[in-house]
Amino acid sequence: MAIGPKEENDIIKAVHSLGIQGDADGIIETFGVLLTNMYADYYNTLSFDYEKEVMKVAGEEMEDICARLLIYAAQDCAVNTVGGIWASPEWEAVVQPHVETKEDVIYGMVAVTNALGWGNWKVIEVVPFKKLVMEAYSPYEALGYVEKYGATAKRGKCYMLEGVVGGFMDLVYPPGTEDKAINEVRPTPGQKDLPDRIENYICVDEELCIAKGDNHCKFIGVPNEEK
Amino acid sequence: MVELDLKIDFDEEKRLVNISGTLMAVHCHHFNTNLFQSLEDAGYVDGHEIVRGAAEKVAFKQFSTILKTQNPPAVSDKLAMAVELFRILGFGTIKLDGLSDDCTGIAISPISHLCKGWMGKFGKRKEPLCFFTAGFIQGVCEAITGTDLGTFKVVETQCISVGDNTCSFEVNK
Repeated sequence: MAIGPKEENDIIKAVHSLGIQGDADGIIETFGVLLTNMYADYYNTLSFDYEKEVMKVAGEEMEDICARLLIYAAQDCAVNTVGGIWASPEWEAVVQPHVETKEDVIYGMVAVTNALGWGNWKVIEVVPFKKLVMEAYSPYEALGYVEKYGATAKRGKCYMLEGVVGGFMDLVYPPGTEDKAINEVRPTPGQKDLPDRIENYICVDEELCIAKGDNHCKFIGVPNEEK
Repeated sequence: MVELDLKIDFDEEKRLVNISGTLMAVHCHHFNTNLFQSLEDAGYVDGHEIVRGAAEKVAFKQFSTILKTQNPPAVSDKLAMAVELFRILGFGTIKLDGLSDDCTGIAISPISHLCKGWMGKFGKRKEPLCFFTAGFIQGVCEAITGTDLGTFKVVETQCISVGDNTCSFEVNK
């Protein structure tokens, strides 16, 4: 059974029903990681003020280097957090009944992340081990950039989503697992070697971005030729 | 004791979460600590001040919005609401009962998301970590006292991430 709009809405409701908020110690320990409900504009300021300050001091060519660091931060997050989500009992209860193929796993991950306040995004095309195309329509990063600077960006500004696109592929399509079944690739709770999967894939430059004046953002994940 | 009443809204179409007038996003300690490390190691800029200033602005904005609908007369009650906000959002715990009515004094954070996350991922630090918490305290103190951004200066004097038992902050104007 594939994951369509109805299933995605059910998954979002199920994630929200978990009540993601701090316990008595102010800690949200779930999916094998520590979560926060963080301010979107806190992240936006960290990303955009940081790169602008660096570029002011060291030149425009630093934009891509800053972007690379910020994208890595998100890809590491995706591999660990989304990997933890995929391994969790909550996934087993809510998403797994809809999963038949590895591609369904990607759709399930997107549905779960659509509950987290990152903005609405969806899968456009998946070619196993080769390509993942996604579009975002209200990502907090691009919206925050436009609010502060207008649609003036020269490159895509959704660094977090760029990293997550690569992270989705890292998780679902580890190199050398073409013949393995989904359950042989699916992490187990608390699996320690998930970081080994990181950066086998990358998101090539965000082709379209609201921060550049486009009406939506577009991401293409591909194998990382450098690795 | 005043109970904090947060207005939580999920925009079904845009898939965005708004808590009391502020867009929020769920992220993990890997993302939070990696971002901090990127800024800290950047070299060209004062990453600590970017983190502190960013936290101050967002906390000020959100807590000012909260106080528009829920504004108990006692400063101690407003500070208790800020403590609860910090906990609910998953940042850890803070104690602000060491602050006087002008919001200066000593604040303590016995449990810190950032310290717990950093130590789990990277291990012990040599320098204090909690510039986010310092900025958060600055922002809520400015909202409570009705003063401008930049009025308060919070300095972390002890930090769990370097081996102290709690994180401790001097809160001054």
